[in-house]
Amino acid sequence: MPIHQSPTEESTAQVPRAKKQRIIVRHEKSKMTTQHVMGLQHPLGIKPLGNYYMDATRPDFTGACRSPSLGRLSRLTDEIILEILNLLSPRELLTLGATSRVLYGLSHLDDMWKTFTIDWFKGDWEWQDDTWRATFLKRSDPNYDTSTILQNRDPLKLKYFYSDVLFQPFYCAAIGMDPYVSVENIDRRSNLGLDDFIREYEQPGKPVIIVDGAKHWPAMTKWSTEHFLKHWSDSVLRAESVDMTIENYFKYAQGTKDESPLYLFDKNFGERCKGILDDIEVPVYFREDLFGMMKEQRPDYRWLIVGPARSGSTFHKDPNATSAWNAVITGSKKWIMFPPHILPPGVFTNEDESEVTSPVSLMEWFSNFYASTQFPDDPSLRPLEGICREGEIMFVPRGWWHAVVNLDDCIAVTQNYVGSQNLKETMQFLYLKRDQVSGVVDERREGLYEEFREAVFKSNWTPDQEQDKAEGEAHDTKDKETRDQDSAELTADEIEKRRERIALWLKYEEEIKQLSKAIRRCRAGRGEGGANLVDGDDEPEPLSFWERAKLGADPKSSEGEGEGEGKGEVSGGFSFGFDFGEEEEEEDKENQSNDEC
Amino acid sequence: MTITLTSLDNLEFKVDKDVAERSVLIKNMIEDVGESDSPIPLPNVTSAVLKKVIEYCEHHRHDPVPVQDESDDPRKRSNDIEEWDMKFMQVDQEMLFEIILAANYLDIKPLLDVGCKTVANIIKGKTPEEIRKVFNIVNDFTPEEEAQIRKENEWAEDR
Repeated sequence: MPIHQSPTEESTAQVPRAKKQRIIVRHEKSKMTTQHVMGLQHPLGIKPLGNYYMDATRPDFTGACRSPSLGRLSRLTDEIILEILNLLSPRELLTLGATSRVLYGLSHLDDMWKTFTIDWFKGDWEWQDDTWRATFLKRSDPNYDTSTILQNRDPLKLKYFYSDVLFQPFYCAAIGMDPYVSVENIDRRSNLGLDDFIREYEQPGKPVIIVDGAKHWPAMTKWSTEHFLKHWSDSVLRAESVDMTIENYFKYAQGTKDESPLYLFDKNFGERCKGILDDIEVPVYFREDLFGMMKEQRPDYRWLIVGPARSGSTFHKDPNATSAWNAVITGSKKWIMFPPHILPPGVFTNEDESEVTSPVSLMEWFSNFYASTQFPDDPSLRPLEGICREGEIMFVPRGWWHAVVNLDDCIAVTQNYVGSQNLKETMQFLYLKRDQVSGVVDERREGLYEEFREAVFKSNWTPDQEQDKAEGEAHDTKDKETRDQDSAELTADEIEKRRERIALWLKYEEEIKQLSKAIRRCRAGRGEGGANLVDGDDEPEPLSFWERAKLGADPKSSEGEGEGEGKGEVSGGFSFGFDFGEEEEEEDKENQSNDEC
Repeated sequence: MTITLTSLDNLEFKVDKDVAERSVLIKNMIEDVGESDSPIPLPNVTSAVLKKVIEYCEHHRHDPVPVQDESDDPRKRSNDIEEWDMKFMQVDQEMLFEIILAANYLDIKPLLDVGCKTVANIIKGKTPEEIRKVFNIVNDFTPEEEAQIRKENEWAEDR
């Protein structure tokens, strides 16, 4: 856990421009007292520390805070005991559980058994009862009788064992999302024209929920758990680190009590679920997808997402600086988003954002950090939030931080794309951050920029061709005329479009190359030990597009950054009330060393 | 450069900077405070334990800094303790636990790991009664409960 300080407050008069505030909030462990958790019974009987202070005052209290049934092990902290338990094999864990009540309880902590199950069997298991422990023991020994676990649960529930470390995950899961779903400040639009979409949302990079986006998809009437089980029960799809059949996944999703349930997120569903692509279509707003020019060589771009309540993704930015859309077919999702230059609380990243860590799970994040996001009075300093429901589509602009939680059983489809509005960002990402490129095999990362370039320059592709291919034969909503020209020569209009596209590419490429040179000059001027170096790196990293935005990239400044890179020209810049230039007061070593150039 | 560390019982230990910095806590303190001669107080560690911890750090002073890598093996092993470490850990249980706690407090991950692995190895291969004896654990099950647990543990791994 990071060291915490109480929030600092600007004591002076109203500041006309919104300043970026670093808000650090005290980790509120003490919140978990009986009052907050009335009625919340941990399955193993573990109680939060706060309860000890209350229980101990009762005359009939005969327990201790950390029972003598731990023996000398009670000297160690709960975290350390867990570390030791994590080193044991299943057999040893079972044996340990037979020594005393507390160790019986600890040996039942389900996360360890989840690890065993996935380690030993990957995705080849059938969910049993309501725990990973039962699932593992049954899978590894078909003769095992899981009913004894259930029988023993109540009698062997712990009476006096208090631990915040062990209670916290249960608490976060049990509280659920109710306290966090009331804020809805993302635009919701229907009957949105394509030009309006581009002008109001895609160009400036602003999220929007298109409420009628997927309304007419066949999937809306067809898809359900039953439908999936009927048609694609044996299809093997990816759930985080394992591949499993849809049947097994649904069994798990329906029975699990996990705080962070396994999430089905599959990029091959089009091929593995026969006919599924006929039920969906790329909405009109997102059909210009330049990665499509690479055809089968394009980076991973579309996923089927299935998960129960509490499953979801912690804060991240989408790959390769692409934009994305996410359509909910059944269920609903809570979204919380921060603009590219604002790091969400509880999220840590290195200088170039190549490594993002969030030490807590999604539910823990909400429990520990959500409140601090609501702290600023100025709404422009708070995150964008909203719930996406059935038939609705969320637009996620390039570079935006976002976290998503399923509020109930949810089936959704998402795609990432490169349109003219974010072409430059993606080009710059592929050019300057080659080691962070994703969605292709490792060997192709270095050269993906050049591959993309070649595809764009050579291609006879038009957006409509790509859409046609993706849909197959079904539900074609575009011009019959254009369709007829699939294999024919390009029209004059299309030739002109292509010429424009290539001209745009060349223009951006020149700017990126200038930027790259300027960065190198800057670093060379600073010497190898520039402050921009990530710990442990040998080579200096070029500044990311967003780092430059943070620094208020002014082409005429003494920083010596690329020419022609004024804020106004940057197609991805998002203001939202923030003044990019005002960040220098923060302990920004980057700035100091830039000034030396 | 030498750093002075002061234990709970006010004994001073002079160690080389690179040795002291095996502790991430101390490393961060030095970075924050800068060049200074004043001793660093460690009120959570007694001199006997600190002596052992310093011994470990001195032996391992040239080890590469451990990389935060959880990707490969989520299940760690406990059978890969090197010989010197094994001998180093041959202390009574109380000292063992104190070393583990000190390593936790001082943020010396390799030492914490070795400590945890050592305890895990004590547990391995023992019956419940033997485990109880070693750690002075009270058997607080009723005979019926013990029977129930025996039933629950009737698991024969099919591997």
